[in-house]
Amino acid sequence: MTTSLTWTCSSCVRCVGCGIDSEHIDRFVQWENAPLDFFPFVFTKKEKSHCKTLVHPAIGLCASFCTKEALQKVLPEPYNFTDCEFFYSDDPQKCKFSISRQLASCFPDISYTVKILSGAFLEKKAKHTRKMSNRTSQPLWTKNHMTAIVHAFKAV
Amino acid sequence: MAEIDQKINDDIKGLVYEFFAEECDTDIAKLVDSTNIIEELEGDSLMLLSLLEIVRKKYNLKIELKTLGKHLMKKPATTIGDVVTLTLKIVKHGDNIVNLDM
Repeated sequence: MTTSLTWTCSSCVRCVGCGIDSEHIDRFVQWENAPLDFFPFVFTKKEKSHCKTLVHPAIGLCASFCTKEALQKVLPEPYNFTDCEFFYSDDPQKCKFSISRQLASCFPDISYTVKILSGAFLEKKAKHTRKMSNRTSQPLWTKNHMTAIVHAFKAV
Repeated sequence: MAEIDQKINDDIKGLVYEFFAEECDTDIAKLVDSTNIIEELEGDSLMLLSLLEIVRKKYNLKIELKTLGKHLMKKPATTIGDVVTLTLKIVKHGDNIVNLDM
């Protein structure tokens, strides 16, 4: 996509929405060793199984949750989080994002991109996050946040 | 549709209060129905979903987020009292919650 000096755009797609969500990784540590039946209305079994293969499952769960929340902010109405799957990898090229056919059919001609960022925030920690950190024996993450940015594009 | 007697009503109210006191590291005695979850307790959607997961397991419920989201668009849950009311509706009506008259 290129934009000229006259602010016209030659792209055949237009960005029609952008959703962003950020969460503390610490909050997902409590589900790292949980049986696969937790949060059936948020994560699919495939996502949970994938996260268990990661060195730090909480990172995968956090990235997946952020992606689902960010997608919610793009869509005009609520959707079932299990209609969106995100499989995190430390290699950004290997992260996989998909939505169900049913959800895709609700918003035809729209395509999506996902960008995952990690980093530490300098703001004071929220009360619930301090609680989570105290509850686990895990050290605090140096990079304690995951952020998902979902863009929605429409062909023109 | 599940019947809600006084005991279940009290159980759910207690569960919601205990949940927010624990998650938000707050003295339960300081919580009242009008306590604002976002502004006073720094709560968020993940917290609400965590509560829903506890309720789902305890009462063996099946509810879709799409349904819950549509209900919350009509009637947002901003206070602890709102969440108690919402939880009671979920336990009583399950996925029919979206068809209720507000």
